Amino acid sequence: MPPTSTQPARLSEAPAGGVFRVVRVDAESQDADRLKAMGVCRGRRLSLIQNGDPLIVCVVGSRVGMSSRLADTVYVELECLPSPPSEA
Amino acid sequence: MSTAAPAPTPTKDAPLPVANDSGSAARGPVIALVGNPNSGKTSLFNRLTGLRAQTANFAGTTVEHRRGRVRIAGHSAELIDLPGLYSLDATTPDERVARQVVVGEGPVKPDALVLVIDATNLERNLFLASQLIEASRSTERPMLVALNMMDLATKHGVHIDRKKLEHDLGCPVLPVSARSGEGFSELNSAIGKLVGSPVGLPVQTQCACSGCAGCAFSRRYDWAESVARRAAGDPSVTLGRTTEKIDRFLTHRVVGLIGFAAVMFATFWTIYSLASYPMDWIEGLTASAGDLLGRWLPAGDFRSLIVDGIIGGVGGMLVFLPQICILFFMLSLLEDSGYLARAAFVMDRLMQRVGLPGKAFVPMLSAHACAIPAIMSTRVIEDRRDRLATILVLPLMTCSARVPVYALVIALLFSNSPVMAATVFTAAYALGIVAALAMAWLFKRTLLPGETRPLVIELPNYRLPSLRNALLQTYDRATVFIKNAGTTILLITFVLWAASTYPKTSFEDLTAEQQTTIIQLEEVGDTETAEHLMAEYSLEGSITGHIGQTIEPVFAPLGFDWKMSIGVVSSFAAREVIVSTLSVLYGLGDEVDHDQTATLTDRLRHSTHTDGTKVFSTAACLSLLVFYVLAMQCLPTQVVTKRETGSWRWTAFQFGYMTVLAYGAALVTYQTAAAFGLG
Repeated sequence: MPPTSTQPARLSEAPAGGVFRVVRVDAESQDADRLKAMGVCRGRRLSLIQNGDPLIVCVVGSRVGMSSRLADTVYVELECLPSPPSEA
Repeated sequence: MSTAAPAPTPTKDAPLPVANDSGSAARGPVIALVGNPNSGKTSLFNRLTGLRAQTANFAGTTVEHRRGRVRIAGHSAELIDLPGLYSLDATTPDERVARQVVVGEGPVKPDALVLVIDATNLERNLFLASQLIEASRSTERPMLVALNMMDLATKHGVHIDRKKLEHDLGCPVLPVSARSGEGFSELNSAIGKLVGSPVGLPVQTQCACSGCAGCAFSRRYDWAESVARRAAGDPSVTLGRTTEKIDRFLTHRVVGLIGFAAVMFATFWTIYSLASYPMDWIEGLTASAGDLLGRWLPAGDFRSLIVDGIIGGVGGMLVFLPQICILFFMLSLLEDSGYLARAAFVMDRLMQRVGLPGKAFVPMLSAHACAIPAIMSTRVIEDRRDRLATILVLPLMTCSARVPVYALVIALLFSNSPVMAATVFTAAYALGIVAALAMAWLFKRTLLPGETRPLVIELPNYRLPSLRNALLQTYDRATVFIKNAGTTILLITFVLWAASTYPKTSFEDLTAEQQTTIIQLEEVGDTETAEHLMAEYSLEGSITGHIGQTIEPVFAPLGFDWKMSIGVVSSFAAREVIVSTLSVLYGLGDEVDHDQTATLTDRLRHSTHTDGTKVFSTAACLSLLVFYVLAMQCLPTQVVTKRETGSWRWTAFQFGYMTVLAYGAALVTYQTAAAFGLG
């Protein structure tokens, strides 16, 4: 994925190491509330630290583990992909 | 009660003036602690209250909280530690109650709010602050912010401008360290001044900048970010770096699992190696207390009640206390260090397959020591159905009370083959685990349908756990166990004692044949055997004995004779009792030590049915083993299930399904084994 891509992608399929902006959360209401309470909601910026199931994002200054089933419902836009991900 | 403005210098021992007349005046003001789950709120609470705190449920709910009386500025006040929450938009019952209390609709109405904020995680914690400031204003309850973990923040080069933060939040901000106690005298007097003071100046709590789009959540996060930036500059670069390094291993797909196995192994090794000493002391103490009282009290029913019933019952309960305490101590250390979140993280993928969340795994492992603390520790599971399913299957795990029963049966089967004995032991453990996972899978598909809540969990920075917190939590959990389980257990112990004592059998009630045997034994000077024989006849004649004999047909298809049936009945409240029951029934007296286990297995092995076939055939032994792996047979656990689920219905269901499962599995085992000629 090129660093300037603006095509929204699922967080579960995003490259590790990238910084993203959340464009949409499709989770059912209770899960969406839990995500929001952790800082994953539209307009927020997060970085993907480790992908897989579950994956780890860094959001609002702390690390949050999230199952990929839930990450499937989070659509993100790539903001930058600093260096090639350390774990390819 | 007066609602007047606070006097500047209240006279000593007079209650602090209260801001509202919610009836708290007599007991002093109520102050609620609010904060994120990892903000160190509980450490702060412990630091303020120490051993004076106790755990209680909010009226009408199963939601627990801790409360304690504190001396604030020379006066008595009540401090309440609310369940941790990230936002006031609650999703779990605990969060819901916390929210209700904060917005003034809860079962307690606080006079002031203290928000605990982790100084090393300012931005995230400020999100809740934005909501709390609004709540404080709308309910007209003053609040202040305790900026916790200041020592850690300073160490990592985070400098927080207190004045700016106070300005932005519109309330006092007190830098403290719950770990070192730094800043607590200031905090104490600030809380004292807070009660009854007017709420702070109005401040913005959401970002109103035109650039930010999105929902109220987003605007609050933007606000939190800008407030954090203004007060502390850019986030520290060194903070969390160690955590990142450690997590590269501990949350790794493969290494993480190995790490988890190692941590759990260490935990259980500690429990088993350390708990055996206090357990031995408790057993020793119980025995000598029984002995002492037995010598003091005149022989008779009263002595039997005190010695066999009450002391035996209480001892039987207390003997689990060391394991419960050590388990909670270790779990508290692991939680405080930040590791438990990782454990849930690495186990989540595997656990989801049976329909349980990753957070259910630690309780499941804990259940291998004792189901009671395991059930108590399921509170971390957010979803009610996930939690219920976990509670229901936890007692299937092989707890330490099953070990004596396994040991007895395995000694009967393979006393001279350590390899076979080890295999069967392992198989018994595996059967418990497989049954638990299978039942959880089944419950999640039938009784408690719905997808498992997907994991969302904060992975807090690792930090050195506090010994003080761990000890306080252990003390607290132990108290809860004794209080809740103790009273009920005592009652049931009494009932079971009565059932196995009455109606009494005297020498004259025995048949002529039995009388002759006893007389003969006494004549040759073997009074001990005579006494044991008398005890055997007495138990046979008691209510328990009659029940055992009546229900023998029920257990006959499992290969149990009437003595084994009595064993099952008598061990209804505590499974390990079957060992001593069989011991009594086979004429050995009720004290089973190591030498006597050997004697007992010898007796059992040679006992025969009236037709000459062996009672403890391979098939019957396997059947008995399977039954005890799967059957409930533990009253304290039931009491705790009732407490945690809030309903006797689930408790009864748990007992019912486990008994049916145990019966069915034992039946299949016996009939299959018998068909293969092992009967």
